[in-house]
Amino acid sequence: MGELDELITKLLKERLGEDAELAIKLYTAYKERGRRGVLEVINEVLREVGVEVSMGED
Amino acid sequence: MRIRIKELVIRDFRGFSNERRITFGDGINVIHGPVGSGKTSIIQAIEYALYGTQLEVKERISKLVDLINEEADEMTIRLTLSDGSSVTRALRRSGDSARETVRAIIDSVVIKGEDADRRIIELLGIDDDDFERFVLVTHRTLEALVYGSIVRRSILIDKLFGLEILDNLNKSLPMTQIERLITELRQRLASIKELPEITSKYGSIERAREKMSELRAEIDRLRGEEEELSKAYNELLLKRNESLKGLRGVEEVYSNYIATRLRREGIEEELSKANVRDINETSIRLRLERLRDALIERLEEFALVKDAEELEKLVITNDNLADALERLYTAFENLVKLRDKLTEDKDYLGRVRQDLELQAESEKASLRELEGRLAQEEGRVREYRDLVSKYGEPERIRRELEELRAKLEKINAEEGFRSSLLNVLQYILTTHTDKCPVCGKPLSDEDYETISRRIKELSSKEGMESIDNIRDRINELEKVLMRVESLRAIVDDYEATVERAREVKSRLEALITRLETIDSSIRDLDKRIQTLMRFINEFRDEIDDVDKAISYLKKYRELEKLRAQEDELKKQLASLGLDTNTVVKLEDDIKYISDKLTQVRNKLSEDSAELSRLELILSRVGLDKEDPSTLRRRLDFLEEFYNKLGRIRAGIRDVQARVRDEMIKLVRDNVGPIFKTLYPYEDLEGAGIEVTVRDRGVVGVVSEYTLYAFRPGGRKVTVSRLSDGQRLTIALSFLLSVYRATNHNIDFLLMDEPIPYVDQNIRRAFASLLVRLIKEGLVGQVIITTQSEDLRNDVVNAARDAGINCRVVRLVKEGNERKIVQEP
Repeated sequence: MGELDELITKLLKERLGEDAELAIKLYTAYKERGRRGVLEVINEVLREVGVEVSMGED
Repeated sequence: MRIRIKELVIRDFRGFSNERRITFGDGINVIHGPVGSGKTSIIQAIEYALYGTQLEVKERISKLVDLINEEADEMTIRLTLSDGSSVTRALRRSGDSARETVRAIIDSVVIKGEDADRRIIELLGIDDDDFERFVLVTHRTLEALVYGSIVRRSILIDKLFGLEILDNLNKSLPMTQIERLITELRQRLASIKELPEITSKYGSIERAREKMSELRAEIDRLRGEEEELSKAYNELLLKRNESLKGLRGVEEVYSNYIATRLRREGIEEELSKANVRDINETSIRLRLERLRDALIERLEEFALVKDAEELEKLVITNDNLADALERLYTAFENLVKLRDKLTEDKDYLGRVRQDLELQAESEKASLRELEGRLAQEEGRVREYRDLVSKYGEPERIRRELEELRAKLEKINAEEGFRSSLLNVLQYILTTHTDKCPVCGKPLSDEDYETISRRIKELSSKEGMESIDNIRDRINELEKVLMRVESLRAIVDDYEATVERAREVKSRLEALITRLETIDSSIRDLDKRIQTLMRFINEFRDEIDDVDKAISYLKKYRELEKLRAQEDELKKQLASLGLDTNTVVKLEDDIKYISDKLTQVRNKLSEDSAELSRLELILSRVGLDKEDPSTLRRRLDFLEEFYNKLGRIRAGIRDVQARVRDEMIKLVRDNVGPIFKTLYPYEDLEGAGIEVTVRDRGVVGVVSEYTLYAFRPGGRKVTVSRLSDGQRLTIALSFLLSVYRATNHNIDFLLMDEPIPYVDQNIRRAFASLLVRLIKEGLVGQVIITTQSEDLRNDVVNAARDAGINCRVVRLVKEGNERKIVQEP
């Protein structure tokens, strides 16, 4: 993880409290796998209630 | 060790078929060739070698398969770095896509797959995003920094600061999709919720469906009717216009007449509905006087003397009915306020009573507990008292015991002496000795008689009985004393408890007395409030009725005026040649059609709404197999998740602002010294950057950056007022300040056609900047591509003049073939 990532992660934790975990997960996913990564993380959460978002839509 | 590029070997990469090799040196490496000769491909090959599939993930290339030469099924790249590490990537065509294999040698260890990707990033100290930000420099970067609009420049600087990623992350969040899911769930739930209502309203789903068909037919019919009525209405309006045409001055009178008539009819209808036939001032005055007297009586009863006195002065006449009513209302409101105040007092006393009741309950509970304890100990207390009355107080028992013990001791001593003497005398008598064995005195017969008598005396049991009696008494008293002493503590506690019970009882009695007083006050207040309430309700009904009567009276008087006015206007119309009967008939028709049209439109609107509702609800019948509670849970979850993403979006925006501040701080410290190193002249002595946050309405809050240089003395000069060379120096200083603000192991810059289509001055300034970059040790290696032979020559000449190492790689395009020529 680069310095900028560390700074962003730290600031997200400070700013978002309980929501920071998901925010950091989304940030890391975006860094690693782009938009697809973000949607994968979101679908992992949404799977709990049996829905998902499509990869091809906005 | 800081990393530079040593060698690139490509096979069947993009336009390059077969194997090609480029060796790079420290200093400047110029890759020169015409358009389409593959200069950008060389830069891309280096980037791909380092970061592989990330280029596709981040959409920097559309498909990996595009990197394979059109004539080949696979391609290979091997990049060797200055520390001896190397990375080899191969792509094999597989349908429309490509499969990648990667192999790296770092510190002489072979690593493959994802581990290789991770280790390369660790080795360089930056990932692909950072690489794109400040290692890869294109003409777009430089242009946007110093030639572009403020918006373009700001977007680029945000990208250089790494803020674009946060923007893109926010844009990637599928808010619209989740919103759609929420809306759909809401509709499904609404449908499920309303279905029972529909069934109960229409009897069954089939009947509801029939109703839909009926509604459609009814709506069609109503639309037809509406059209006909509209037509008729317009025709009547035309007819009215026709009848007025040609009659000069009639329009105003006509309008007045119609308005007066409508107003008169309206009032008549209102009065008729209210059943007002005849109304006059006197009857209202009499009612107001009765109200005034009743109110005065109540005000006096409730000690509102001032208000009562004020009202007594009120003289009601037929002309001041409204004023009088107002004054009665004012005084009456004071009585209402008093009722509110009394109610508040009663509530307060109620609360106090509640507190006291709680206290009394608590005291009662304490008393019960104390009485319980007393009852429990009563037996032992009685025993103690019986013992004391029989044996006296413990002190006395103790004294008697001491006396008895002393007495016993004395008697015991006497008894010992008697017993010894008896033994001696019995011995003398038994042995019949001549002499006394104790004193040696000769014993006579007389002595023996004395001895026999004495033995008889001494053998009496009297002394022993006395000892037994004393011992019995001592034993008894000791037992009693022990018992009395053990009971004493209980008795003390009992007496303290009695005292406490007495105190609690006294407090309880005081509380009960207070409660009784409060109860009495509450009853009294309640009585007063009830009296007042009854009066207020009756009085309000009456005064409101009088108020209404006064309002009707006004209307009644207005009606009389309107009738007179209408007659007058009718005469005027007749004198102007207009038949009022025709007018009235026409207006009646217009009004009738207008009312009918309104009715039809209302019905149309109702039916359309019901039809839409039925269509929505019935469209989902049979589709939902899921339990409504599952849907509800899903909806709650999605709503919460949507809100969470919203919070995250806002948080990311805030974080972006804070990262920007941090980056600005870092860059500001670097940009000045770097500028001074790169710019050897004295007309400018530094550079800086500023950010301004602006609210651009619908676009939102944006950050605008300003790059500037300092004149000697500190005056700021914005880039737009600088020469091309000065602008380029600022741009490069800024890029390098970002490059140096981050810790990494890279010691090279890749410049892909950084200044196309520029004049000689800019070219030379840029060439000398590159040389200075290397010479001042800001970067160890620059790889630059250009199609400009002039720039190539300028860079080569500047490097030669400064004694800097410079290599030229020439790319040649022959038909579809691309060749690499490494110049000596």
